[in-house]
Amino acid sequence: MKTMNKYSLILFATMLLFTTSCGEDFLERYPINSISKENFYKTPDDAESGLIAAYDGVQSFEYSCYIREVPDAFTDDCPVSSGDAPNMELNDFTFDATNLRIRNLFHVIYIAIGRVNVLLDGIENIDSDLFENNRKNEIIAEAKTLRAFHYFNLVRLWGNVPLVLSLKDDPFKGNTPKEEIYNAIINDLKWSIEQLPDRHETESRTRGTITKGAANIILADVYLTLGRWNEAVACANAVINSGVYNLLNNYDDLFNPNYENTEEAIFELQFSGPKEANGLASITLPPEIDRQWWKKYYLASDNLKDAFDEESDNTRLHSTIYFSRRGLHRWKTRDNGTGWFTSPQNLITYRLAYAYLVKAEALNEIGYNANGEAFNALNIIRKRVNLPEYTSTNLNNQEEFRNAVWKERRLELALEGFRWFDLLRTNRAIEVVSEFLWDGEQTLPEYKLLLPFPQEDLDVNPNLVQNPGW
Amino acid sequence: MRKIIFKKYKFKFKSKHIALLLYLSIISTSLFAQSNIINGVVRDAKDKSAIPGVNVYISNTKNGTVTDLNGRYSLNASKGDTLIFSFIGYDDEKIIVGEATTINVNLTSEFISLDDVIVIGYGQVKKKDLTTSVATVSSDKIANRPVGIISNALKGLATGVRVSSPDGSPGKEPVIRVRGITSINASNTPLVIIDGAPAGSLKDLNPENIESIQILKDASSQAIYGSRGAAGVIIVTTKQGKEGKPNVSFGYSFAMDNLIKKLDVLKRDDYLTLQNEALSNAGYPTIDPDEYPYNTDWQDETYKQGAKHNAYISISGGNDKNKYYTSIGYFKDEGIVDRSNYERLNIKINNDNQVSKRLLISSRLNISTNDWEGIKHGGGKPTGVIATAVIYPPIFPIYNEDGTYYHSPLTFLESPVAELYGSMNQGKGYNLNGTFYGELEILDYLKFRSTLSINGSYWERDYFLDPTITQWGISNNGQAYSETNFNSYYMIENRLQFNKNFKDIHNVSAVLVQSAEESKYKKLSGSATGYERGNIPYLSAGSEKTDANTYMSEQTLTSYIARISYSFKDKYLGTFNYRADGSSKFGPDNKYGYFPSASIGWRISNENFMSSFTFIYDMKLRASYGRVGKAPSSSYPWQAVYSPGYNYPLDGAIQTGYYIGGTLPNSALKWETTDQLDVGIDISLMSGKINFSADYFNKTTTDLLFKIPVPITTGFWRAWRNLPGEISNKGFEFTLNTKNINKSLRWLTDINLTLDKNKVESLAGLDPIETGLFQENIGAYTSIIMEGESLGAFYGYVTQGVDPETGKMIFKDLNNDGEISPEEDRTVIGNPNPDFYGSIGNTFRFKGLELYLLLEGSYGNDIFNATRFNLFSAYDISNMSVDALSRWQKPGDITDIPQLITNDPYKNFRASSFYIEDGSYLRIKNITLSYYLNPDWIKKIFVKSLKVYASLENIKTFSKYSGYDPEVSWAGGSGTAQGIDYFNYPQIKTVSFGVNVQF
Repeated sequence: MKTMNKYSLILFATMLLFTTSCGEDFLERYPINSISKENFYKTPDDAESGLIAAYDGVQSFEYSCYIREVPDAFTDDCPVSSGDAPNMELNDFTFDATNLRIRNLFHVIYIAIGRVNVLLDGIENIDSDLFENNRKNEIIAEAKTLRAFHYFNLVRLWGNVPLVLSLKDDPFKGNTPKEEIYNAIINDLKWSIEQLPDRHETESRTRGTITKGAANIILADVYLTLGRWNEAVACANAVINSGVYNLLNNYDDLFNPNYENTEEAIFELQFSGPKEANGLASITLPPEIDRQWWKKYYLASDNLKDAFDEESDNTRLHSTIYFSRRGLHRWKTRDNGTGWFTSPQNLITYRLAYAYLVKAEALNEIGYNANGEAFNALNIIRKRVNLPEYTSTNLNNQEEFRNAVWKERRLELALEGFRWFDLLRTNRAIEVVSEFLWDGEQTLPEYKLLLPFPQEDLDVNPNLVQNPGW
Repeated sequence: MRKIIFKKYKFKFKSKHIALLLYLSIISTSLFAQSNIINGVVRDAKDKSAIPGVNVYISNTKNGTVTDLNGRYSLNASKGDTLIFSFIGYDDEKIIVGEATTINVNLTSEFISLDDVIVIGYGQVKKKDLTTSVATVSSDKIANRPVGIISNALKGLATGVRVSSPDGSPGKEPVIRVRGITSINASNTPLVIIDGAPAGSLKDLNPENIESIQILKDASSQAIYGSRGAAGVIIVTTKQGKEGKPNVSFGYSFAMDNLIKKLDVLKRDDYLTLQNEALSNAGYPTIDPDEYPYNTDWQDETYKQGAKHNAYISISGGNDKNKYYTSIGYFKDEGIVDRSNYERLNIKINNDNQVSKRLLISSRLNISTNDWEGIKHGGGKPTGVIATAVIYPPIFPIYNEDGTYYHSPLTFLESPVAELYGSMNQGKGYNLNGTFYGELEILDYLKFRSTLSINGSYWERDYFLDPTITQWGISNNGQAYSETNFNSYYMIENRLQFNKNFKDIHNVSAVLVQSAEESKYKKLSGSATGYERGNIPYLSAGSEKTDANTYMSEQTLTSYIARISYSFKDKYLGTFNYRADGSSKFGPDNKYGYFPSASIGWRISNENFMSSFTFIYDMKLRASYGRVGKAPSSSYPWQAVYSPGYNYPLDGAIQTGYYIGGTLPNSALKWETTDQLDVGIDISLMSGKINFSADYFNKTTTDLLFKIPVPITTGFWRAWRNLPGEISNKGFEFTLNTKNINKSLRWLTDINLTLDKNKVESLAGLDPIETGLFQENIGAYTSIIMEGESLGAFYGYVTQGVDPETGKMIFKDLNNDGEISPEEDRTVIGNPNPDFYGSIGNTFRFKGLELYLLLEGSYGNDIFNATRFNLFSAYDISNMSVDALSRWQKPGDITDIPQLITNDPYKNFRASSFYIEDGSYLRIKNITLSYYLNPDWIKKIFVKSLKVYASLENIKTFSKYSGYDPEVSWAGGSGTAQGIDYFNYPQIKTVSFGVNVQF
């Protein structure tokens, strides 16, 4: 090798600098924008933010919108051909396992359940002493109540759904019998009721998150559905007597976007547009309000309007239905916000009126009692909207009282997502639908009372068995 | 001048001698003292035929001449002058004038000869010694093609390499696939190495700067790139300076682009007839013709003539110590739709500096900037400019009487003109790529090279939805979105190379490499709304700022590579590679992957028993086998991460919730592996007049990186796994290059043909996965991943025409159970992968004229034409295809188009074979006519060569496909959702003219 000149020696030395060896941690890289599992669920704040994610699950556009729209679409409150193609299939029961709305609703409910299960898995590791008072159990109770609500929706719509209560469950778990699901729901709610306070620190949290009253009203709904009348009455009374809730004097205020978190609300889904917007509002608003003339979504039926008219129920008629040029629009969500998908209006899921109606119906089922507590409960609702009170003269037996309560529920809770579940649990669904859609000439087949599991999910999970008939 | 000795020879003084004397005396005044007449013959090195028209000149001067019809030249030159022999189609030859006055020269054809050097990973090999499968595209095949982005010029030119453009928008980079698609979730895009560095994109290169492109196709060549080689490796080498006087090159071309064909849709009268029929069949009120007295041809309103401009200037030169190549290039593409364009500026500076006898310092620098504008595409919905240009009803005008854009209450669609001007989407990018290396020759068989490669890229995008033009914009009060992205990358590589020849019998070469690279990415984005007017389309003018976000990620890779090659008497060849890669993307369980491979070759033609077959110039059998790997594209796939953003408002503020997101993580995640076998033969006949290569390849990929769908009942959508399934790609490649005529008329032919079959051999027990475009109205996906089928096979019902009695579409009852159900009656209905594809290129040269003709095609590929939903179903009062006129109207009608009923209550338009069309095509891809102006008279204007040319690209396409173009992919490069057409920006045909000058 010839001697290199000074210049090239310097260059060679510089090149040798490039032969650096890399340290062991050169290959260890962690995400910068997020937190890895090793570092999360260590403090009470982590648990609180996990709980917020659980509320976000039930407040998501698809869940909050479809849990009201899909069941309503099956009923006589919703005209045929209301909405887009997937929705119209729901109106006249021509859907199958590939229907998009059904698929999306199934998915978002389980996603919301996943939020709860991840929280429960994580919070286990945080010492309860780190929390203030009983907050750890309260968080768990809020989460379990939400989960019970999700399974309550699933079991009523699909029947034997897979019951997944933990992240560690077999991912390919198959169907669980209804009874087991209801047991799990009831157990979770009963435990939660013990842990939850009547109120939280602020009005916003008392109405916007789960309290003892919310757990009780959901449990009352569950007992009502199962025909466990005494227990239903007990839960309804717990809500009525808690002192936390009062009926509003003006029915319309319930749906007036200027009044949020009122005293009648037991569980009110919080929205604040446009980042946390109420999508249901954007979809149902009449075109006079939002100028979206092409929209055909989710109208209200003439049948419902007639029902209000028969009762001369003008107050609730005008709070429920908006007479638009396009047709009868839903009016319980009214705020357009600043444009498409920016509505800040909250959505009440359960309110005090519901407790009175449960009480009236359940007491009557236990036994007709002329002018008794059942009548009081029912009349409180009617008085609020200036309708004549019932007495044993107009309703002189259990059958008549029962029908009156059912009719009152329809008018009081119209378009709030309860009608289909009422028709199902009172075994009137086939008759009402057949009459509404086909004037009784055709009968709705019984298998259609349960929704089909989405085709996609049957494809992914071989252990999931489709509901019969689909 | 030497004294002429008259005494020895009887010398008759003739006129030619006087002429010669006069000539010599003139010349002698301008020549140096010792100039002589140098003459000789220039021949083709292969077949020794004489070459007329060869440029012969003295380096650094303007003195020169041209060979005559017999290949003879004669010129005055002095001892020590360098004579340069140059002719198109041949490599330049340089000879220094010595004592001899006759200098005969053999020029080697540019046609790839066996001594040509092929660039492979971390080194070079002579073609004759190559034991692996490498496709080469030389710069002359891609020069002067009016394409702008180099990949577009590669279509059909290399076997086993399928290049297709998903759409025709300016600046769109085509998708390149080498020997098929192997991965479902990991990228199928080949690794691109530019001047030794795996950073930078083909899109940012000026095609003029490229010397050659090599594509590594088999495992043995790819394995040296280990974890990123599985989808193929494309090696780009840019031009280097050469010794000699500075060569200045300038070129300009101008192209005119047009839509290849319009789609035939209904005009006003037929539209009203059909739509009103559909509406009344569904019981809806019909459209009153008098309310809408217009007949607008929306395609005419949307498309225009586009143009491309390309200009470059480059200077190269050097001496024995220093060589340089510098170039500036500019490219602009104005699309056939307004507001779609792409502009690029390139600066290239390459330097090679022989600092001392043993030390070479080189640098390769590429700076590019780009500026683009793009139009809106509706995704899975028929909104967006192209979709509305086709289906927006012809009965509406563009403007209202007051000049505002017309909106109709009857449909949620807007006119394409409103869509076009109703939103803005534009961006810019800046890239700097620099590779610097120093190579030290320690011994003459041992070299050490140390390389530093850096890349900095910045790109930004601004989007604005005007609050005054479209209904969507009005109701949202406008929206703005901006993002800026920055990526920085560096690589350090050290390489030790050994090359020694022992007595011409044994040749050993070996290379050892160590490298480390790191990449960091950061993105900043923001959005706003609350605009009253559209005059300031940026975040600053929005009264409500709706979002601000940052995202950052990093990834690293360290590698160790060894390769050894041995050849015995040039007859028996073998190579073995081994590479170990460690990546930050995998968890501690599986951070490193190991990739071995080997190849062997047998030069049969050098065997004694072959010596009688003289027409066989060269024949080599080769085989290779090896393993390469792949990592997922995301940076942190194996980790569980809690991210914020799952929010709920309480107490007047938005509370932040944290959650894992939709994918379950996996700490055991590891490399996806591909094993490939390649067997090939290269034959060269008749002294290189005929060159033929054939390859058989078989590659299987397993440990598929996959986000397997998990039941939603878990709360998650998917989980990352290495699926022990298997995907295979098997096929044949054939290349034939022939020199048909090699006289004053030269005719060369290149034929490429690739047959490949892709199959999902096993999904390891997973059920088939539906993928592709999910069209709400069809109610299903278009494609499926299923065992026994190709990736991306189309899936749906089988149609059997329309029932003449009812007008409903008949779907085949595949299992004869009397019902049509999604589980039982859907099947594979088409395959987007072609049976074969290839090209035939012919080059003719006569004197200064050159004609190039390229035919390119693909056969057996199906297209899922999802636009047929909108074109035949009367959905949302859209316009329809003229073929919809043959719809079923009354019982007894025999047709394929069902009865028109708004909202398709009978679901006639569900995903089925109704949408499948044959996408086979043959294209006259390129015709280029060039003329090299006669060197003699152009010398007078100091020009070395001047070429003018005209080029036609995509001038004619033969295909049965009814859509805009059979080369289409709605999902871009996705391997599992190929061949779907849903209103993509159409491909174009181009006429261009250009000139290249060399000084």
